[in-house]
Amino acid sequence: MFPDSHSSLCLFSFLLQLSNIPYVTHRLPVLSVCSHPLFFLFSLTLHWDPDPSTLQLHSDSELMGRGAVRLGMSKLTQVDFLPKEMVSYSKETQTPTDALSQSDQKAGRQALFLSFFLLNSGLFTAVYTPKELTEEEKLQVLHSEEFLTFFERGSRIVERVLAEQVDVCFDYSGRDLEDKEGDLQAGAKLVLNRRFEDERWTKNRVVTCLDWSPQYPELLVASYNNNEDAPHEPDGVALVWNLKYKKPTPEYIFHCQSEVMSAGFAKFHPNLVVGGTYSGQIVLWDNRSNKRTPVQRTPLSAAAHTHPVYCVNVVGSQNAHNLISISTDGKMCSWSLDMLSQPQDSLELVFKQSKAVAVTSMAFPLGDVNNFVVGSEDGSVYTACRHGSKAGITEVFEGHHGPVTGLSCHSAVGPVDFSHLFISSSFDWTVKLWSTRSTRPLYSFEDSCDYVYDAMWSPTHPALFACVDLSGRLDVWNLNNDTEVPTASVGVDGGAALNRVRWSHTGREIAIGDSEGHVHIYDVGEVR
Amino acid sequence: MEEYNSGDDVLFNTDENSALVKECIEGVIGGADYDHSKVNQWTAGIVENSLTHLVKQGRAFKFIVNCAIMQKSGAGLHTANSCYWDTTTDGSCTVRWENRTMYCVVSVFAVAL
Repeated sequence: MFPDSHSSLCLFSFLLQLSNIPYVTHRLPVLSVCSHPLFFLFSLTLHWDPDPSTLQLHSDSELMGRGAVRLGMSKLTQVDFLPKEMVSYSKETQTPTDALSQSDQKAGRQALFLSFFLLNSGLFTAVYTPKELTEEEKLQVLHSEEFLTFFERGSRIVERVLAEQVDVCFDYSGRDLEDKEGDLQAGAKLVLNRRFEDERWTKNRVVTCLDWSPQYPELLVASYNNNEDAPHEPDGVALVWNLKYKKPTPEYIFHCQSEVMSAGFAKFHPNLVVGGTYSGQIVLWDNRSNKRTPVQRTPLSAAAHTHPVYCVNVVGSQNAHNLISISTDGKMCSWSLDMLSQPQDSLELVFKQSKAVAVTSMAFPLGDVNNFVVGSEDGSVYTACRHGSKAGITEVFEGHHGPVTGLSCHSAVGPVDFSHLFISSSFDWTVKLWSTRSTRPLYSFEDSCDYVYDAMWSPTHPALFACVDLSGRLDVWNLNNDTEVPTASVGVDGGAALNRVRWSHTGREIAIGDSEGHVHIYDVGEVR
Repeated sequence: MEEYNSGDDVLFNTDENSALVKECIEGVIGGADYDHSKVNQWTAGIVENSLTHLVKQGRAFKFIVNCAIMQKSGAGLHTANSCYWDTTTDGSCTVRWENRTMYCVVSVFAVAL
């Protein structure tokens, strides 16, 4: 049935009115009516104009294709910069009265503890079952002071005993020595006694200095420069070797951060070893401390040395002594061994007010603490004095054509005073003999065919001196015998360049350091 | 096997970004010694520089860059960081750099947009 026109017209007008009313179009659906006159054919098309946020959510999940976002903990990132280790040395000067009472108390306490423990462990069975220590307790024991002291001493003693190889079948009548070796030994003048080297500490290093201990004639300190093949090992090493026992390892191992160019036992302090380094620092090692690093160091400042220190020496007497050090820029500092934080005295060694002396070697004549001689890189030897109005360089001795490498003042004591004599070795292949009384050399020993690296007078025999050169030769000259050629000469095995020579204080042994880190000890026989 | 995302655009590439940040650091404090008067400029420079380069890559990430410069004086420095995020798309990298007089630590965090 067709709807009658009146009702359709009403509907149409009502709808028109509806569309005219202003309302929020987003909230309510807007109906649009198809304007076809045939109302039964009109259709309603609904267009949703929804909230944009809801639309977004819908499309998001459609696009990304994931539901809830899964979160997890990431790995922990850590950054660590470790603090620098500061080595400190403290010295106590407490008088011993307090310490006595403390040790008494300690002994009393220990006795009490022991008795208590014994009581507890059972009256009938005195069996002590060892208690298993925890890891922490073990570490604590290993790091305690007492254990470290005991271990250092104990391990040294055990090493000596293990290396002992004594021949119990030796026949003193000499019947067994029928081979030539015996004959040669009887008449030989220079015989190799020992060779010291260490796989870890001396390989690839050059021996820079040697010194015998004044207190224990069997101890020898040798200093070494850096090992280029091992950049992580310390640059400067000083080892104390022991001649008395057959153990092949060093008695004490000391090291520091910069190459050690000179070293020596401190003369009136038997426990201290002094070293002068490439950086200009003077370091002090103490064999009472269980540390291998220096216990005291001079500061790296302009007040001290800033150039390599090639000469260190303790001069003076028991009560009044100083450590003298000279660096290659001509600065001479004197230090007190108790306080290395600043020099007691410093002096610039300049020649003729302007030319600084590049010092490579230094020597004090016997018994003299004021006057000394220095050798420099320009080939001249200078005498100088430490105190007084003429402090500084006094005279120049010219004669060498190359840098002076070693100096030695005559030190043998005897009826005639030869303390004004000194010898110098140089790159010009010669060793020259001088007197402090004259600026021209007294004599020139020209037997060597290579750089002469060091020379030293014998401390006991007034006419003997030894020198070493780059070709691996050790020459011992006897001036009573012959001044043209050395009286005894031996080539060191291996042919390495020899850097240093030092007579022992008894005058019966010579220690030689070479460029491969070996220290050779030669026994000196009858050198007449 | 989890879904393997071969697209570099979505994952944070630690190595590449470490190298980028390292270059930025070198560019700002490369040959210099620690200078108290300049250190503020340096940290700002490093952070801005790194951030610019990271954004220039054009990836859809939010970046957080943190820079610390410490003078070498013998003291120790320890830092740590951790994050709770979507481990498949987000990432971080920490770059350490040092020269004779100072340490520099830069941390970059990238959170996917």
